Amino acid sequence: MNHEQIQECIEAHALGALDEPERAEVATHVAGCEDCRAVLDQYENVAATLPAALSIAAPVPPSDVARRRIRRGIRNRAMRSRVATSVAVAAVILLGIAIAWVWRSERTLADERERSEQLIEEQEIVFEVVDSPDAERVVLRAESEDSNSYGKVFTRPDLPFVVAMVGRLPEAGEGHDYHVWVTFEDGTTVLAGSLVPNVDGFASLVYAADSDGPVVIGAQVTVEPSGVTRPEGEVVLSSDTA
Amino acid sequence: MNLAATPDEALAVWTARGEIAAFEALYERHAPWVRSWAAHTLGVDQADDVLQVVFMRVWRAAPQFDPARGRFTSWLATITRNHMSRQLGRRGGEHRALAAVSVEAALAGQDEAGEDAAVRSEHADVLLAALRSLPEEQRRVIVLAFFNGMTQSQMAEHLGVPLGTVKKRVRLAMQKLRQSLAADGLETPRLRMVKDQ
Repeated sequence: MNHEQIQECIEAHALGALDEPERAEVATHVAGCEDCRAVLDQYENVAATLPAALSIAAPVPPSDVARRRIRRGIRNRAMRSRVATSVAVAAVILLGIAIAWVWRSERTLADERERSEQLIEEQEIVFEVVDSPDAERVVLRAESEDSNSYGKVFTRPDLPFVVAMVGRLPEAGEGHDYHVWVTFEDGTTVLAGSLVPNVDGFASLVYAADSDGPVVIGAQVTVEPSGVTRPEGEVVLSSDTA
Repeated sequence: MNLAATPDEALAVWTARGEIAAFEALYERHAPWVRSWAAHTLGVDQADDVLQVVFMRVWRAAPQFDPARGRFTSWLATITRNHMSRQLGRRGGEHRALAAVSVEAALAGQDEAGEDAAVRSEHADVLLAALRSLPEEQRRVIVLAFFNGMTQSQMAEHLGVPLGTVKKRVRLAMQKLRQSLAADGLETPRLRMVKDQ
């Protein structure tokens, strides 16, 4: 249909009386034609006033039934909406907590697994070094006559590890650690690591030297403030040669 | 805020934001004619059900109403008409014909117009007078099309007249009704509101 033919259908379109596909064709044209849209507005105004004309021609007694039902419906919808919002917020919070818990649990588990694997690996090394018939050992004795602590440092010619084991050590005290200092045959002294005694005072550590068969000529266990890098604290145990 | 003096389109926008007071103002203004239309076409016993369905639809669909595309009254009339047409369609042709007779009789009657103050408007008064002055066959096609949801071809079949005759009656009737509003300076310029106003 051209513009003129469309205009002949505007009145019927405003009344909703056009058959398909005429209706769709007119609607498409009007959407893009300002002139036709303006004319249609006037006829739609006529159509929209028809029910009010009917209402004043033959009024129907008012009723409050629908108003009450609608108010109830809106309130219920609003309440459902509020409940749905609250549930959604609670669900998001719970989900967040669950994710954090799972993440933390997984992290804790991963840390535990790593520590456990490290411990197993250390225990294997300790066993390999200490149990070898070729193991070299340096005995550590208590510096104080009041102490019954003791220890040993082991090495093995075909492995690079130094194993230190101590027994009956008391707690190091707040902010202090037991450090193991090992002196090799070339005169260098290194911090082999920290000892954390268990409830029986037993502790061990493994130090990896640069090459197989490190020769230890002396060792000391000192109690130091945490974080020091030089053997400056009280000597608790020492080897005869240290 | 005086909601009674606020245009329908602004109330509809506020309704879309969930403002119940705006929705109730629209209800006060338009429920009487929706109820009257329902009572004349489906029966008084169905009028409250229609009101409920139509205005709950308005509440839910208010965000879809676009003032730039037309007046609120037209939008509400379309919602009402669609619902009414579906209901009439379920009841069959005989009921549809009876409903048309009821509406036509009300619009053609020469009685003093009622005192339905809620819908009393200059537009409606002028339009009612114009409807009453139309030839019967022209008024009938208006009723069958708008209030009973018939298309032009359905009206031609229902009335037993050629389709061209129905088209001519529709055009003439609508042009006269429009002219009656224009003569009284009641034509409404197209609204150009934007939604967020």
